Amino acid sequence: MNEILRVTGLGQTYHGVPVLQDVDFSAGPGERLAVLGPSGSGKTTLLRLIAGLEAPRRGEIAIAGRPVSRASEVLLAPEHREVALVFQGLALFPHLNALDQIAFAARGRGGIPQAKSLLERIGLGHRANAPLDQLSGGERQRIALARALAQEPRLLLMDEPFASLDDEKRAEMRDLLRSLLEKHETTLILVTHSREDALDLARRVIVLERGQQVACDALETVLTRPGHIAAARALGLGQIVEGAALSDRTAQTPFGIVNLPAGAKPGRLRLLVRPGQPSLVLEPAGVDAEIVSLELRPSDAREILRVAVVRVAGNLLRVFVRDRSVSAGDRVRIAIQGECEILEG
Amino acid sequence: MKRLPEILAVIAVTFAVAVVFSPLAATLTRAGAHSLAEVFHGLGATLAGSTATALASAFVALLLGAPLAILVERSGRRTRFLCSALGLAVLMVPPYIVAESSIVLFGPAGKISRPVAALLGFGPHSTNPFEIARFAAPGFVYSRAAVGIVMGGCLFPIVALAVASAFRRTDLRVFESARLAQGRRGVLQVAAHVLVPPALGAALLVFAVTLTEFAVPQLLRVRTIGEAVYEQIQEGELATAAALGLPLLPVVVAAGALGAFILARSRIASLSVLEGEVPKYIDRGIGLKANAPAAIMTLVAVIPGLIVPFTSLTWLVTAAKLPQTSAIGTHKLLRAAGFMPSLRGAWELAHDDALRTILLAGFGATLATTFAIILVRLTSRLRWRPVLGILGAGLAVPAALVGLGLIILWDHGWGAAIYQGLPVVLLAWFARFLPVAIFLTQGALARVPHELESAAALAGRKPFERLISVVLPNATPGLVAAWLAMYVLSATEFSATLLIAPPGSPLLAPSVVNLMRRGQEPEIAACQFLLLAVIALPLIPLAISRLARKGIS
Repeated sequence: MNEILRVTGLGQTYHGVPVLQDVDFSAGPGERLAVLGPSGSGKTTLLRLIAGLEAPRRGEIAIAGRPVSRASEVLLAPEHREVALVFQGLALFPHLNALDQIAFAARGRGGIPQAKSLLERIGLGHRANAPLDQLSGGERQRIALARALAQEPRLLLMDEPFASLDDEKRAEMRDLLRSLLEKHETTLILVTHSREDALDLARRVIVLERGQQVACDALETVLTRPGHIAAARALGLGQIVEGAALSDRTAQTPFGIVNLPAGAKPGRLRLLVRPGQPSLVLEPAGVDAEIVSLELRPSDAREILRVAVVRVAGNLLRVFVRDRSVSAGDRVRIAIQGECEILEG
Repeated sequence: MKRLPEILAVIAVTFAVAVVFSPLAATLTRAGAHSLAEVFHGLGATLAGSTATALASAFVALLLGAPLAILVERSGRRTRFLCSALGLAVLMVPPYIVAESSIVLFGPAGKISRPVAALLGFGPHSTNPFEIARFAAPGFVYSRAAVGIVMGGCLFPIVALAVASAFRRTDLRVFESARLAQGRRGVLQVAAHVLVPPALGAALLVFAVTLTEFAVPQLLRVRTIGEAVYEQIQEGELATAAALGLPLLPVVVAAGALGAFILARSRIASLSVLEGEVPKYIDRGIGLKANAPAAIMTLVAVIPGLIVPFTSLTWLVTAAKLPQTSAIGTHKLLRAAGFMPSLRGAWELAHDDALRTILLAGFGATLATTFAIILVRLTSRLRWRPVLGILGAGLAVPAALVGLGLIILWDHGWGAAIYQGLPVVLLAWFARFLPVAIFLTQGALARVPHELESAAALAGRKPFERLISVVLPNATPGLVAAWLAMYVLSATEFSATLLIAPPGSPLLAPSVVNLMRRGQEPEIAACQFLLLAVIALPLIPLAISRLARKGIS
C-alpha cells in the first residue's frame, strides 16, 4: 500500500442536485495532480470532501490506507487528516499578523521558529509583524501557501490559489510552490482553471465536467489523446469542430472532408482540430472561406504569428497564415490537414 | 458522545424559549378564565389610538432616518463618522427622558413655549384663537402626535441603520449604469428597489416597538392599553390585566414579523454599520457639497432625540433652584442650585441605584451574550438556525405582560426567593431582550467567513479551540454591539422593572421615572444625566481601546 489518497465512487448532492458523481482516482506520495474543468463542475466540492469539510453522499475516501469519509459520514475529522487546503479566497485570519498566520498552523510542528523560517523562505521575513490589511495580494498568496505548508501535510490541496494574480505573479508563485515542495513528499492536488498552472505543476490531470470525471491520466497522455471534449477545452488543445462520419476514416465538416483515426463509428462526431492543422491551400483543394479578421500571437522565437479567423457558411475557424499579403475580407481556400481526433461528450 | 452537541442544543433552545416565553405563557393561562368581551369594553378607541400613534412614530422615523442615511453615506469619511456617531447616540437616550424634556421645553408652561407665546403677544387676556386653544387644551405636547414625534425621533436610527446597510452592500456602480441607461429616472428606480424595502421593514419595527411602549404615552398623558394593564395590576386584578394586554399581541407580532421578514429579504437583518462592515465599493462625495447636507440633516434628525433632552436637562440643572428640602418617596431631595451642586445632589440621591444598575445590567449583558454565543454555535452546527427565529416573537411581548407574567410565575411559595430578589429583574430583562442579544450575536458569528474556521480545523484546531482562537476574535465588533445593546436596553428598561423590582433594591431607570413625575427639579434633571452617564459608561473603555489600537497601528 503506497497510496496517500484513494477516492472511490465519490458522489455529492446539494439540495438533491448531483454536483459530483462516481469520481475515482488515487495519488501516491509526492504526486502532483491537477483537477481541471469548467465552473460548476465540482472541483471545489471534491477538495472539500477530501479535506473532510463535508461528508460525501456516496463513495469512500481513504488517506494513507485509512478510510476517512464514506457515504454521509466523516470518519476522521479534518483536524486529524494531515491535510492542508489553500482556499480560493485564501481564508487568512483578519486578526493575525503575517507571522502569526503561519505560527497558527505551525503549533506543535516547530512553532514560531518554524513559522519564521517559512516566512524567510517565502521572502517575507521583513513583513513578519505586518497586519493582514497591509499585505499585498501577492504577499497574501505567499502567506496562505506558507500557512498550509507549516502544517507539514501529507496532502496539500489548492483551490485555484493563483486566480487573482496577474500572469507574472502567477509564474512567480508556481516557481515558489515548486521550490517549497521539492524537498518534501507532499502530495499536491491543484484545482485550477489555468492550463499554465496545470502544465507547470502537475504530472497527472483529472478533468471534471458537470460533476463527472471525464479524464484521469498522465498529463502527457491527456495532452496527446484528450479523449473528451472537456479535457481538450480545459487544456486548450485546439478547436472543436462538428462533423458527420462518411466512412470509418473520413468525416464531413463545414471546413471540408477531414481524416479520422481508423474505426470511427457512423453518425455525428465532435472532432479536435489542433492549432497547426488548418491551413490555406491553393485551388482546387480545400473549401472557400472568408477572412473575418486577423489576430497576432507571440511565438517562442522573435517571429509574430498571424492567425486568420475564417468563416465558412457561418462557422468560424482559426488558421495560422504565413502569407503576409492576406487581409480581412479576402476570400481564401482552407483545408484541415492530418487526422482529427474524435472526442466524446 | 456523538449526540452530545444535539443534547446540549436541545437544552439551550429549551432554556431560551422558557426564559423568553414563560411570562407570556403564564399571562395567557391567567387570562383564559376571563370574558374577553367584558374586559375589552371601551378599549377599542384606545387600541385604535395606540395604532395611530405607532403609525405616526414609524412615519417620523422614516422621514428622519432614510434621508439621513443616504446623505451621510454619501459624505466624506470624517463627516460620516461624526454624523453616524451622533445618530447612534440617539439610541442611547431613553425615550421617557425625551418625553419629559419635551414637556419641560414645549409644554403649556414650557421654557421655550411660554416665552415664545409671550413674545407673540399671547397672554391670559388674548383674543387670539390659538392662545385660547392653548389654554383650553392640555397642549400639543400632550397628544398622540407628540408621542409619535418623540418615539420616531428616538427610534429613527433603526431606519437609518437599515438604509445605510443596504446602501453599503450595494455596488454603487449599479447607480452609475442606471444613470447611463435612463438618467435620473433610472437612478431613482434603482434606489427605490434597493432602499425602500429596508426602510419600510425598519419602519414596521419602529411601529411595533412604539405599540409596546408604556412610559412615553404615560408621561405625555396619552392613554394606552399598557396603562390600562398597569391600573389593573395596581388594583390586584391580575387576570383582567392579563386579558387586557392580549389584543396588542397579534398586531405587534404581525408588524414585527413582517418588518423582520422584509429586512431579512433585503439582507439587512444585522446592524452592519455598528460592526464596521467594509463596503466593497462606494463612490463617496468630498467637499462641502456632500458634507454640508449630511451635517444639516443630522442636526435636524437629532433635534428630538439629543438636542431637546440635553437642552432641557442642562437648563434645569443649571438654572432651576429648589426652594426647600422635600421628601419624595424613598428618595430625599436636597437643596441645590447650579450645575455641580445639582450633580452632587443627584449622586447622593441615586448613586446606590446607579451602581446597582451598572452591575446588574453589566452582569446580565455578559450572561446573555455568553449564552447567545453558546446557543448560536450549537444551533448553527446542527443547522437549527430557523429555530432561533421563533425567539423573535418574544420581542413583541409588551413589557407590561412580561412583568405581569413574572408576578404570576414567581410571586408565590417556592418562587419567592427569586421574586423577592434581583434575579427576577434579570429574568424580566432576559425575557424582553435576550432575542436582541441572540440575533446580534448570530449576525456577528455568521459574518466570520466559514472558510476561516475550515482553515483552523485543517490546522488541527478542535471546535472549542476554533471558537476561541478564530471565531470570537473576528466576531468581536459584533459581539460588543450585542453586549452593548443588551446593556443599554436593560439599564434603561422601565416598564417591566417597575412592576417586579424588589423593595429595598431600586434600580436607576424606575427611580428616575418616578422622580420625573414629581416635578422639574435640578436634582431630578441631574439624575437623568446620571442615567445617561450609566448608559454611556461602557463606551469609555471601548473608546480607550480604539484609541490604543490606533496608537499601536
